[in-house]
Amino acid sequence: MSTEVAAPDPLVSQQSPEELEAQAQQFRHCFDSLKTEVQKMMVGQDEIIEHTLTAIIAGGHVLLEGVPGLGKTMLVRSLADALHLSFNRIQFTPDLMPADLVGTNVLVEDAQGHSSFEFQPGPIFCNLLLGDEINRATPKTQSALLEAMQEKHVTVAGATRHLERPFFVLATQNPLEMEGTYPLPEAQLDRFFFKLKVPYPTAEQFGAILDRTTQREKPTVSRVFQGEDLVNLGDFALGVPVAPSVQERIVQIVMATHPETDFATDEVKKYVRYGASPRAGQALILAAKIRALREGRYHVATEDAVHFIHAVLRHRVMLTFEAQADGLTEEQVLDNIVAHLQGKWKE
Amino acid sequence: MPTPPSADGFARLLSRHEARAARRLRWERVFERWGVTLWGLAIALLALWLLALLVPTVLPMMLGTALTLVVLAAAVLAIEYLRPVERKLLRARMDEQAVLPDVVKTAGDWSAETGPEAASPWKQNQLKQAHAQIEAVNWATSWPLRAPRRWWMPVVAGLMMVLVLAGMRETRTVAPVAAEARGLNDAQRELVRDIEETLDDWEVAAEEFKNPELEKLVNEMEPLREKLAEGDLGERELYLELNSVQQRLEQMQASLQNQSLEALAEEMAGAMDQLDQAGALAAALRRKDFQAAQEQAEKLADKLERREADPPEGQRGQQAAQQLGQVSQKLRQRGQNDGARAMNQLAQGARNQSHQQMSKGMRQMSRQFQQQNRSQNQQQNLQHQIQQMQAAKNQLGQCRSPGGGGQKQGQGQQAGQGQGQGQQPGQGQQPGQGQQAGQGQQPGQGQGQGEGQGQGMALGMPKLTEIIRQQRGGGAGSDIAANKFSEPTSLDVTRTQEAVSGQMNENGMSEVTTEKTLQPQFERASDAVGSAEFEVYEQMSRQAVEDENLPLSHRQSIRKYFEAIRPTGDAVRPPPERP
Repeated sequence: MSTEVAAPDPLVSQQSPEELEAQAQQFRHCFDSLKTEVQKMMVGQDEIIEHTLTAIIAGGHVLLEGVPGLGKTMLVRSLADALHLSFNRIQFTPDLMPADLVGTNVLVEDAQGHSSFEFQPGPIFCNLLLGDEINRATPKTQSALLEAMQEKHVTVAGATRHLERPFFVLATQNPLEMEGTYPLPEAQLDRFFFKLKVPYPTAEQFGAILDRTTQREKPTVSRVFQGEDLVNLGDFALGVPVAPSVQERIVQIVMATHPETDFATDEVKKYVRYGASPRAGQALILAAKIRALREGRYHVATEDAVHFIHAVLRHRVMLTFEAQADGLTEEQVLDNIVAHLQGKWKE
Repeated sequence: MPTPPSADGFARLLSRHEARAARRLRWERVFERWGVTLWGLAIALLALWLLALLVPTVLPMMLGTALTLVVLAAAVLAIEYLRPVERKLLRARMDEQAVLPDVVKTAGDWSAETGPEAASPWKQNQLKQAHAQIEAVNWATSWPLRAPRRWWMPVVAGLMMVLVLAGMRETRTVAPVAAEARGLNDAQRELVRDIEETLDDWEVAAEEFKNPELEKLVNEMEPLREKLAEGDLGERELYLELNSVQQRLEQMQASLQNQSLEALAEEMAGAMDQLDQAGALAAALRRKDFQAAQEQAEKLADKLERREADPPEGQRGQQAAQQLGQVSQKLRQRGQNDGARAMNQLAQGARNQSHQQMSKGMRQMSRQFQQQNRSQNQQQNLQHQIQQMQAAKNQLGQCRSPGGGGQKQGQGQQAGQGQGQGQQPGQGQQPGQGQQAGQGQQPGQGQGQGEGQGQGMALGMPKLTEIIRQQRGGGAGSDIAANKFSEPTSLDVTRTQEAVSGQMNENGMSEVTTEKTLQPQFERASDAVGSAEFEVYEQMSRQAVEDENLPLSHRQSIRKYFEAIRPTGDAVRPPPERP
């Protein structure tokens, strides 16, 4: 059953305040519809769903970290179904080669017996790619994926081939069994818009999962809107303005992760080796804009950015060994930064 | 969404709400500082209270200090309220208090924009939204202010403690602050306290001994005492006041000297030589020992009454009458009419060969000698007081110099070294006897005898009350002889004492002058005590001289020794005959 809704047209929003108001309401409706559809399949994990949808609307990729069986694949599949997007899944292994990912030229004989090379696209050619256990692939394969994520195209045998739009990658990492894995380098982690940690469901949610998945009738996901509409949602959200004073605060948040800056706290200077890149700022503002619209506002507030600070910055801040030895996590450092800045903003 | 007002309308709305919020922010800052300030004030008041309990000199300024602390605390809070409010901070706080996620902050930024940017539908919608949200804010509920009322308690308690203690303020307490304000240093303030102590001692002496002259003097000193109590005296004023007191004392002393019989004592002795059995009386007059003279006059009067002594006869009687008449005339010329009448009575008795007239005249003379003896004590007291004032003036000059404090400290050490010396319990000696007992220091070295009863010494001199008590036979065991101003010890009534005094000139320097005065005859009182035992010792020594086989020269030396130490007024008795 299709419950398709029309996504707002970003060009229309420039016309009048009243039309903009209608567009904003449409945006909220689309987002909520999509979320509702996904929640038909996913029990709990509201924040993961919300963050994933935000990243997709913003055009970013998501790195999901969690133990197996928490519904990561289900989430991606549900999204693909709801958005009517093509979906592929790759299980990364150490012997996975870049060609296995992006595709390769194969020798093909035609009816006349002539042989020619024909490009056989890999699984990356889809709208929504689920890369399971991405850290088990070799850096060579990882970098092939990450190039595609950033550039939205792949180059095979000298020929550049564009990927379909929209193109989203949702990669997963298993925090356990780290032996034989190839942790993603910082530069590659930076390409992910969000890094989300999928928590274990609560007992109540666990019961609901069992109920929902052990019956004859399985829930199905209806198509909400087309993939192009998703791009329109992102474009519409880009129009949300940010006040200079709010932008200044977001800059301060990102700068505070750099131990060499004046914004850094003593804790950051002691425990942080590298801070977040400007991409983090971009991600914070983009995500904040989407949240502001969802909250019915026409401006970005600081709290919107703070809401996504873990998802945006946890994989962009590299702690020192001393921090690891002291049991300090990225989230704790980021919380302390925010607390420090909020105190400073009150002075 | 309601119809938005114009940009000006929104600006006015924002301005109005900012003003309300700014007031709340100011009060909030005051209340934040409230606790620290009031607790600090309470602790300061408590500390002041404890200090006033421990140091009584703080009492007079305690109330003023407490009020100053309260005013300072109020000023701190007022400054906190009046401190400018930064608009950026204010808007952030408005958002926080009204739970408006950066609404005021963003609207404030955008409402100031002009040009095409301001026409953005996003911003217009935001301003509409902000207008509605800000207008709906009730700051009284969104930003409640609660004054921490319990914090008044310590302040109220501290103020009450201060007020209660301030009520116990003594009227005659030196005000160190005022003294400091008058530019007095520590040594000078200590001197002021010594002077106050001295004046208090004079007042006690006047009340205790009913001395009208002293009472009159104390009354004259009242303005000075008030000034000292208020600390309202600078160094120069203090010096002038001390000088004035000293001059007044010297005038009183000169007045007493004019009424003294001392000037005619020699002539009176010459006239007495003509009378029968009046040798001891004449000798006492020549020594100007009027106490002994009074005793001898009484004895002679008794003898005349019992007719154990007779008026001079014949030419000797006429000569005596003539000389007594001449003395009577001179006494009348000096205004000493009582003395003149007594001498005239004696002259009449001598002329008439009348035992009764002679006895009556002798008793009148005895009363005159008694008055003269009191006058001598009075002069002695005045001399002591003059010395106290002189010592104070000298000390004031020393305090001015950089080494003044050290000098005073040295004097204090001299006084301390002498503690416990010269203790003669039950003797009742006059001041100076303790010094005679084996001291013999040169003038200026300081005797440091200390006070046997542990009483204080104003200006390093014995107290006037103690001196008068001893003159009257009281003060047993209070051998007072300390003098931290290095007063010379008097062993000889004829010796002179050098006193150094100074006069401040315009440059603040002192012109030092030296004057020589007769040492007061402190040792005479000891004769009364010594004479009681003299006969016993003399008898024992004579017995020893007779019993032992001593060379003649040694016997003569012993005899000369006892002759030398014989108490005045005792007639030389012939040695008892050998058995």
